[in-house]
Amino acid sequence: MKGFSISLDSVIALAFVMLAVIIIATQIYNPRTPDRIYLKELTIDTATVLDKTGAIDSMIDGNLTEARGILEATPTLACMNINVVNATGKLVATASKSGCNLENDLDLQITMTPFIYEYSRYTIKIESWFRTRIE
Amino acid sequence: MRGFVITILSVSIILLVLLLAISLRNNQLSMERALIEPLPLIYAASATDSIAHNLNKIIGPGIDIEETNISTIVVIRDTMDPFNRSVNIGQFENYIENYFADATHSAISLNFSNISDEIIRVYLNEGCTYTNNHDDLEIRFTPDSDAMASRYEINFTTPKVRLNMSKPGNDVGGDMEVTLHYTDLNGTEDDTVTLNSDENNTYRIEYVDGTNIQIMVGMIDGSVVITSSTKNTIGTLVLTAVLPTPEVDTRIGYCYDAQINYVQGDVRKVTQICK
Repeated sequence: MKGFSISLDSVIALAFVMLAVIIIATQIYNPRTPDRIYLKELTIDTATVLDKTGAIDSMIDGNLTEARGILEATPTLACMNINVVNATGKLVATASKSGCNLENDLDLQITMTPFIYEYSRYTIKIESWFRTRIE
Repeated sequence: MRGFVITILSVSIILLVLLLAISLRNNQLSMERALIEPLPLIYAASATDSIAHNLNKIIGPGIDIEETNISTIVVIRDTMDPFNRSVNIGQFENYIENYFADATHSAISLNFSNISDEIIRVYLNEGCTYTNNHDDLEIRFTPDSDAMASRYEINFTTPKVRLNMSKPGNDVGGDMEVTLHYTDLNGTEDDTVTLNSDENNTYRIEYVDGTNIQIMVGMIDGSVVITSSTKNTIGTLVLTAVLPTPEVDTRIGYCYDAQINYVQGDVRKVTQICK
């Protein structure tokens, strides 16, 4: 009976130690930029690149090639969807990164920026998220 | 009894480890908070930069600034014309203050009162001033009084028929090199001279319709002034100014004589509209 108690005690102690090790292993201090901050900055930078390279001008003119090329050049895990809306709120052009599906439970970042093309006013709205699996 | 002591010791050690783990977790969360806090500021900076970029699309001028270890080269591309930009500026102001501000849940107030009267004024590198007066058709570039231009290259084109052209005279071996590439329907005139920056050196071009354009370089502040005697002149200008390298703490870029007041949540940014 005494031997059994000691064994049980050891097992319980070992279980506590294992639990502590698991907790520590999952809490390793890693001061990297949180994903949503990284995604927000990536989205803002992408909006700037789209604006200053003339890709949005081309989108409004009906040519999505340049904008899609910029979207495909973003990191593999990042997904983006660009909507160009005119001053009355009407959707003028849209482009998405290939292989990305917008699911309901994703952490979505939205960035909006003003845009002028031939004296007309537009708003660029970019939705971005991390894809959960690579297809 | 011994087993009980060992258990107490084990539990104590585990509690210590758990406390350490909680502390590490709290540290990580506080680091994330520290990184997240500036995000609205980043977005505010991005929005104001974007507004400046789009204002530039409406009123110009195109400006490129190149800094080397011995000089700063400023290239300004603009037009001399009497076209009224007030309507476009007003529409842009209304769009940003209402539609865009609502869409981004922010409060944006723009002060364009100093540029909507057709005088576009830009401050470059915290010292030079460039003004395009579309009312009086006068373009003026004035360098910082402590950093005079050592060289100007003026490229001006206008669709007019020339009667004659007078130049400022012979090369006087002054402190400022001036190169003019002037083009009209008669062809192109090129001139390169070295002039004194404190004198008024004038190119005067007269046209068959009785009008004239004057390009004045120098005067008391080493500036370049292009004026037209009539309000129906249309011309394109590419002005290159070679300036000394600015002080290390000088902001390289340009600002409009316009202000933005941006508020989103706790973030408030009140600044000149700059690029």
